[in-house]
Amino acid sequence: MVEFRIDRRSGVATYLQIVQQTKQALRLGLLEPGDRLPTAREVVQATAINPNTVLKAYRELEREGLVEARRGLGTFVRATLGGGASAAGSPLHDELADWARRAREAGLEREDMAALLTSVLDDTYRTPGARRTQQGDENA
Amino acid sequence: MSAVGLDTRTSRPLLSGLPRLVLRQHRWALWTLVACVVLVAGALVVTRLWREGAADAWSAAGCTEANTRPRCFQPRSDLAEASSAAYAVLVNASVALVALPGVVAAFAAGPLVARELEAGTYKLAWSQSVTPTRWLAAKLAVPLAASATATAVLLPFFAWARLARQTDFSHYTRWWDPTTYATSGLLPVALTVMGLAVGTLAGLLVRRTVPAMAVAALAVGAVMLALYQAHPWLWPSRTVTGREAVGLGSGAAWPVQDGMLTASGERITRETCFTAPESSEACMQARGGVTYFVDYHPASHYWPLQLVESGILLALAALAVAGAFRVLRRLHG
Amino acid sequence: MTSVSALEAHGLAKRFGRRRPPALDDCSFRLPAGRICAVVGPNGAGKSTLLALAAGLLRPSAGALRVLGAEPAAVRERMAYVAQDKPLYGQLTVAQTLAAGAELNPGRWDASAAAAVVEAGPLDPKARVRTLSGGQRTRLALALALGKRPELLLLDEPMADLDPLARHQLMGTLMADAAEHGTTVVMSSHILTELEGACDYLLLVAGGRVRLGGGIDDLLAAHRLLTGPVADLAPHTVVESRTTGRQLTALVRQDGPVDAGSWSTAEPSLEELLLAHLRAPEAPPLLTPSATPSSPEGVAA
Repeated sequence: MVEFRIDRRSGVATYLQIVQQTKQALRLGLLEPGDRLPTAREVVQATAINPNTVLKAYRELEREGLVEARRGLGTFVRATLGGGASAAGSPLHDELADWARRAREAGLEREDMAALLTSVLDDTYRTPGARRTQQGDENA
Repeated sequence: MSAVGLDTRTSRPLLSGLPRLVLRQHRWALWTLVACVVLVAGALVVTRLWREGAADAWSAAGCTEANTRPRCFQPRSDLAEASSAAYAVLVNASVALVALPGVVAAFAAGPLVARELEAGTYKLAWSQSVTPTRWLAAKLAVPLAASATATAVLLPFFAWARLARQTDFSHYTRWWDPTTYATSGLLPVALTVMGLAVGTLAGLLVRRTVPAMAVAALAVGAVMLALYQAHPWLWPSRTVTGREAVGLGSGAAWPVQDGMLTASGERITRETCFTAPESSEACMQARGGVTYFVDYHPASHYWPLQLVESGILLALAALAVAGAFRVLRRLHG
Repeated sequence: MTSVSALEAHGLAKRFGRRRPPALDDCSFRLPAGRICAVVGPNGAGKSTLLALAAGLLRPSAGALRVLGAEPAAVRERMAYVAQDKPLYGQLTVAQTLAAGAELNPGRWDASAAAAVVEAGPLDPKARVRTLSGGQRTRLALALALGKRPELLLLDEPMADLDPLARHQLMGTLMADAAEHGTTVVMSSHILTELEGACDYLLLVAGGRVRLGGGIDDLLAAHRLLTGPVADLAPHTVVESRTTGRQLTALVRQDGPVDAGSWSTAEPSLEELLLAHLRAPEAPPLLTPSATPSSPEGVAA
């Protein structure tokens, strides 16, 4: 089960924060297919946000095919993101961790590594979506 | 439309919901009332029994008021003491009972109604499943039941205390003495009901606790004073003239006006001669009075007078209650 | 537009005495059921009067207010109201207060819902109400309101006495109730940040009139914050504009496309939207379609 953290000052719409945090949990393998998302009641009890905001976020996730609502049971994860390949302990995760260790030994600061990663990602995608990807990294 | 809400819920058990809340809120007032009733009833019983005992000892010793032998000295002083104590208790208890309508009115105006309006707690009550009409009905019903019951319970004790065996040193009480008349029959209950109704209306109109209490007590005082002034004339009195008139006034008859008649039958009341420098008899005769007359109420007028006065009071109470509900509906829907 | 109205006002007015200006004047608006509505506005704007009228505690001087499709007095059982001063009977204990709630709401009372709010305090059931702090009173008043299991919950300045933790917790409780039961919630405040995030509907009341009404997203989308050279802003409705040198900053209601070449545009924040309307009382009121009352006589002035 995930727990959402709502930052009112982030400037990011509240429902988007829920969408992003769910996706992040899917990428990191914290949520797997079959897992139940917290109910709207549980989310709003903990975060004091509007229930319709939660429902809007869940509808968005459903539209993207990531979750499905089962009537009377709740909202369940259908798919995963990154095929679970980015989960902690996965080969890609381990390789990146290994790279980060070596970069640090080579004297790179945290900001240097982030800049390097961003430029590589920009090169990899070269699409208008590049900005969005960057934002995703900041949240990581 | 509020009345519909009232009708659909009358089948619920007694002392649930609102009445129970009203009782719970005013528990201390209820206990105080109960304590006062017990105290007054107890004092009336104890002083009467004490006096009876002293009277028994007095007569057993073969004493009379004229008998001044030394062995009668102690019983005599005992009986005199017991008699005056019994009378003092009776008079004070009567005064307390006469004051009860004013106290009830002040309670209804202040703690019962105005305090809720002043503190805003009415908003709490009315935002439950309770209409303002039902709220006011409960506010009236519970204290009405309590104060009318208290009054009704006390009345037999007063009657019994007054029925004490008449012996030497008895303080006579007559049916038309103000303290007797207002503490017997139907009148005390009617006065209490009137006090509650007038107090509730005052509370709703004034809406502040202390001023509402003062207004209610004054209003009830004014009503009682007006009634006291009017009550000899609320039922047609009888008149006697001549010799009979002279002897009247020391028994069951209540003289309400006296004076002299002229030869042509014209009345000269004693009041018109109160300020005369000579005696009132001389004054009346000087004005042509030839024979005496007395207007009086015989003992048989007790119940007609009581019923008329109680009717007036209950009509006044009904008006005040109707006014209270009207004020409530006009302001709050 | 077809959904049930929780509140619907037509020309609603309330005066307290002839000499004083009306507390509410010619208010027409609609609140669809199931929304969580913030009633915001400066102190003395008429927010409390509006809520007291909806709760059936006051009678309108003019106009009409329908609550859950009926007269307020007829739906007392289906709504709960917590007044600004959180009135409670001081001589009762916490437990007795809840017992009174149960007795005064026969057939509706949800003891466990009320108890949950009180226990989260935690409030001692044996404590006399008069010994409670402001925040504890608010908690008890909300427990009483939620125990009634209302369809419409009217809360006048509910969070004013609460510390930040209790505020967050009670707001969470309210939202959970709304999520579970679809309760329509109306909350007033003169502090927007108390309500932002929790509410999805807005009524801005100022000077006894409704200045803005509608879903918050719709209201924000209807406005644009423009920055650019001084120019005529027609055909857009200007709510507020400021000129600094050659630069103009304006909050407008869009009517057609904005010239994106010469203007930099942004969606205003809720705070910017409200402040602009409060600073510009002459700006025409705006009701979104969902906030416009249904019958023809109710079209906003």
